[in-house]
Amino acid sequence: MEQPTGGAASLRRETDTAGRPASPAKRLLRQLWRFRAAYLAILPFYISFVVFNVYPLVYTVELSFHSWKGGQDWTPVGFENYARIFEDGVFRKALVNSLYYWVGLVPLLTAMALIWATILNARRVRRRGTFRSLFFLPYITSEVIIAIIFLSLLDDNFGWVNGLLHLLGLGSIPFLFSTSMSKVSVIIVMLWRNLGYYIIIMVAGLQTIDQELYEAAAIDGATPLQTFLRIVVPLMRPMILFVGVITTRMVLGMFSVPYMLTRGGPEDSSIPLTLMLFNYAFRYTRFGDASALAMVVSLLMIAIALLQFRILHRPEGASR
Amino acid sequence: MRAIRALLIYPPLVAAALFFAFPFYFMFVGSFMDQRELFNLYPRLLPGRWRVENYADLFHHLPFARNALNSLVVTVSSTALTLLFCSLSGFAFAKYRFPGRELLFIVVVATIMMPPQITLIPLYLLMRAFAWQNTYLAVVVPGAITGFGIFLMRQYTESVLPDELIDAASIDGASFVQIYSRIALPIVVPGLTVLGLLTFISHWNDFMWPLLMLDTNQMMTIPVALGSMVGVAAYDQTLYGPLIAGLTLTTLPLALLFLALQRFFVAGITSGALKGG
Repeated sequence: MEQPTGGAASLRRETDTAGRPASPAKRLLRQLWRFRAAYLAILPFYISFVVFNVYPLVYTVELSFHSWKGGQDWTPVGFENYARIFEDGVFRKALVNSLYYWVGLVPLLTAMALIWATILNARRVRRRGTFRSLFFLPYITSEVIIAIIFLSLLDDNFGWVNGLLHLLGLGSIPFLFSTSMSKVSVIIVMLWRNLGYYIIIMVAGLQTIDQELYEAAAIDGATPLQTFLRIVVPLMRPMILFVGVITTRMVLGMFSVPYMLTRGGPEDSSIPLTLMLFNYAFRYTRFGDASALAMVVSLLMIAIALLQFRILHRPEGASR
Repeated sequence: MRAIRALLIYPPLVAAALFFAFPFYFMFVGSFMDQRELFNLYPRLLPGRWRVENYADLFHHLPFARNALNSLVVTVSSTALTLLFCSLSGFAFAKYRFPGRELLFIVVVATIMMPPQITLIPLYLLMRAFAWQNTYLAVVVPGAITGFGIFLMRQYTESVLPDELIDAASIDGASFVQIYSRIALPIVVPGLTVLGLLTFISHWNDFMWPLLMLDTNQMMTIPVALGSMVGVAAYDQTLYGPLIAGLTLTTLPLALLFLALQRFFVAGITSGALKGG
């Protein structure tokens, strides 16, 4: 009985059986049979893929062009759901908010992560491992838990942060219940939770940079700032792109922190697109509109990712 | 020169460290405070009286032991399934040149790129159709096999497992399952550790999906249960003392475990990110 084989052996075996002529279809069948164990190993993923990805994807596309009130009937409505979404004041707010979060969080997270990682990767910084772990600690804590902690700390009237401002003789800041500060508070909390994780990822990238480059720069009399701008940033370009792409995904999928902190308020001033999607689908059961919204969010996410690749992905050595 | 440099580096580092540590400190001491101490413009860094009863009250308001059990069941089974299926698939993709391999792998990568929002509504309806709502199945099964996990395990397996080892074993008549379990699995343990940690963290903290799926107190996981204690935007309706006791009970074991294993943990993710990125 033939066993599925790996690598070089399978190639050798193939030339052996190819000795006698067989029809292509028969050969393919034999190949499929030979590798049956490998196919069986990957099969569960494809079952899960069809049931939990393909089917829902098709369903969302379909539903976004239908009106459905929860009963049996779907009425085709063309682009009506999309039109309604685009005319919706909440959508405009949510779109602006999500872009605000993106502009506020992605460059800040990426830049701060790279700067802290550079410091925490330098040989002469003592106890850098301890600092790295400390910065990472919020990431293993649930977003819900973190949001609740900040809900108390940032309370508009009696929170400790306002207490501190009070102590310093400054006026209190309405962090959560004002339209001007609610987004800033969400950004602070997201930054606090996630920075440590991206520092670790950046440290991983920095460790692939040849130590000799730093030494050569030091011999040439480069200042730390010059070394950072001329060596670290250009060589870290792929890592910066990677972090930019995953943080974009995180920001556009942001739900737990604004949900717990402000419920998207006041007056929808901090609602992100995903929370709006959640509300429309599961609070108002407007499944058609929510599906159209899901399509818009997904297309936006893909568009931003493509833009990031366009800006940051240059062939190696092309940058200076 | 050296002193100046130290002065430039350490104060910001310590300030940042305090910034990251303080909310944890607040959570710990806050779990022994009453409402008036927690919300006070003249905060005191230690409670006037250590109110242990906050912890007892937590168990009054929530079936917290059950919630913890739910979290544990969901997280452990999701992580175990992810590790099993992703290591199997990663091994097959890394070491067997079967027809269609490249195309099938593109599908794996495509699922990593797919925005999760787009499947949310149909998935919710599907779980209702399966009558899985309010069961462990609904929160475990849909996320059990991830494209990211397969990608990570393929990269890792490819880099650490030599073809010769597999060829030798298959010439000796070892089957796929035998080669996987006796040769591949022991070698890919570091990769599995990283994947396991990341999977564990994300399932343990997951909120939106369990919030949609688990609607009785008895079935809720910890984040959903604690989240349900927060009144809508009015601090005086929420019992913050017991709530913060719950946060502490959830965070403390994980944080201590993490600090005990920190070197291993961070180093593991560092090397895993390298392979995956």
